[in-house]
Amino acid sequence: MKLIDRLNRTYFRLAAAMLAGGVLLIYLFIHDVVQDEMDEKLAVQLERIKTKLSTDETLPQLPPVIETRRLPSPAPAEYRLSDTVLYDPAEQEAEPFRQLTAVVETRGQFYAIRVRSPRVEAHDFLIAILIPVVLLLVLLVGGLFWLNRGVLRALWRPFYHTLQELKHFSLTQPKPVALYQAGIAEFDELNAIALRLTEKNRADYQNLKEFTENASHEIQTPLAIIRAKTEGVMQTEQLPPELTAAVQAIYRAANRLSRINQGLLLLAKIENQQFPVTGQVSFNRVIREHLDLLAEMIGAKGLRIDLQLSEEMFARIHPELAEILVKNLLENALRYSPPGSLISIATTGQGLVIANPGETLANPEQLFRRFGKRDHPSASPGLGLAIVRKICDVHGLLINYAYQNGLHRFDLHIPT
Amino acid sequence: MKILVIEDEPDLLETLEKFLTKEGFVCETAASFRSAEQKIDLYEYAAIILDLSLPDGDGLDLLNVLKQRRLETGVLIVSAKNALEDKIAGLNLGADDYLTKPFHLAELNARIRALLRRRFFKAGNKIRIQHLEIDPADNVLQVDGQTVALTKKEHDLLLYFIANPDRVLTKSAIAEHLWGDYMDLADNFDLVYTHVKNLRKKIERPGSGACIQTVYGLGYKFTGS
Repeated sequence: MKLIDRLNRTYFRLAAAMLAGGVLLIYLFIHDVVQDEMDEKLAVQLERIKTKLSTDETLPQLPPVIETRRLPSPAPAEYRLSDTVLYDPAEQEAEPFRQLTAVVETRGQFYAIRVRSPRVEAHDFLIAILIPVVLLLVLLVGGLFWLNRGVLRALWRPFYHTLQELKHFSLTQPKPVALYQAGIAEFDELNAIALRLTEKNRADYQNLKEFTENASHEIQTPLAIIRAKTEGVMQTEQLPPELTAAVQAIYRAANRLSRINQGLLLLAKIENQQFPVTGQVSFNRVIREHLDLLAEMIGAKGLRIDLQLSEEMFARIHPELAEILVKNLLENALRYSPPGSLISIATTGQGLVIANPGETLANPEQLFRRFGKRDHPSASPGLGLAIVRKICDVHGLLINYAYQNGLHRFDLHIPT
Repeated sequence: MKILVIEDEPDLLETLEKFLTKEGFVCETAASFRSAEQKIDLYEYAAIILDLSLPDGDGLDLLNVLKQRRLETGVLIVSAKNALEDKIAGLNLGADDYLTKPFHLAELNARIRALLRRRFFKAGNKIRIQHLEIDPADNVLQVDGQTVALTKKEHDLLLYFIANPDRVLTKSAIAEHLWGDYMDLADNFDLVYTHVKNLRKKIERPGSGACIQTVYGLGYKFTGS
């Protein structure tokens, strides 16, 4: 919920509660005043009747407002106020009345007198009060709403500006986020902190990038030396067999180390988003190109490819990463398919499925992990599928592995 | 032919110098941006092997210096940076080729020879070695005057051997040269063995010794003379 809405809601609740309390208070107060006034009037009426009875023998009657009876015997004096409901022939309906019941004595004669006065009904009262109050509430909340929109929006503008800037903040942007002085202590403090954090992030990112490049250079150069020197030793005529084996082992290890280093650096670069998305890449084209490159390998192992590129599949991805993604998936399928088997590759508009036969895996959950436990010892450094997963994660693509009917199935999906 | 090697790592510089000298080039070295700039200013080179990360400057700036002087020098960049953007930047500034560290010396040799061939020899110029005559631009080979068709890979393989005569070439170096990113898979499928076997059949004369020797445990060697 937006701040302004939350504020408006709070105002509305508070105003409603206060006005409800106010309505009750006004009702009780007015009711009290009106009743007092009414009782006073009834008392005056009674006095008038008493005065009249002292001079006149006729009993004043005006039902239901005045009822007078002569009592045959003396009775104790009475003066009682009460509420009642009576049928009013004038209005032809039951009406609430305030009544004063009294027993008075005048010139030795006792009279029972009732004077009544129609009362304002409670709900009439309430309605009379509620209508202006609700009107007031609407005006008040409307006024506050209008005030909030104008004043608060202006007051909070620097905050929303900061929010926008942070929302669009990218680690790779060349300049610091542009936050202006709001002149409001809290916002200026917030901006200072936001600026400090984003600058720290940018600096860290820059350092990480430099570290990645440095690590690459620092490790690849010694590896180049090891490799060149080993190749040099290999040129020796009549190398003793035990040295041949040692040189071969060093050479292989250096190659492997170099491959692992390159894989890890690639993962780091993808993580650092150093492959900006510039446009759409056609996966169908990439797949066709890579199958051409692989034609010899496919032939050498007697593999058959069931290629169904019926629909064009496009994804927003850096072209180099699309190549790596397809290469790693195809390489995986070719490597682990038994000779002579059928690999199926199919694209739909929304995804890509590569399936190849093979034995079931002991640790399928380790499949996409870096250096995950694998069933077959292999010369590859075990980063291919980890790189696939990383590329997918960074670009919001979904990659799934399933083993069904003797097929390893990799399912790449572009969520809509 | 004179080659300048610009590389700040002393061990690698020494290895490259020895290797290239042995390959018959006149080799000069520079370990920093400044000394490289001076040498480029003073002498003319057929080719320059350039490491991009130098302690006192960016190797790419040397490309600008070369461009301004309009020299006919071929440039092979050798760098640990393997991002596509770096390669494109280097090639856009006039470099002829780009090799990522770590590399095989045989690969470096083949690339330099290809580069020099493109720069200094006219098209249609054929390489003659022993009883073989090969056109670098065409997949056709003449064995004792007889035309033999080669596949693209066999052609590349033969050129690679010819560029590195009397040198042991490892299977992984050959795989990397022929299949690039798919070298692991090619190695895995023993494709190098298959191609060498096929190439042998096409180039070797019955009776005379083997052109391509198998060096047990290491790789293959092309005998040049």
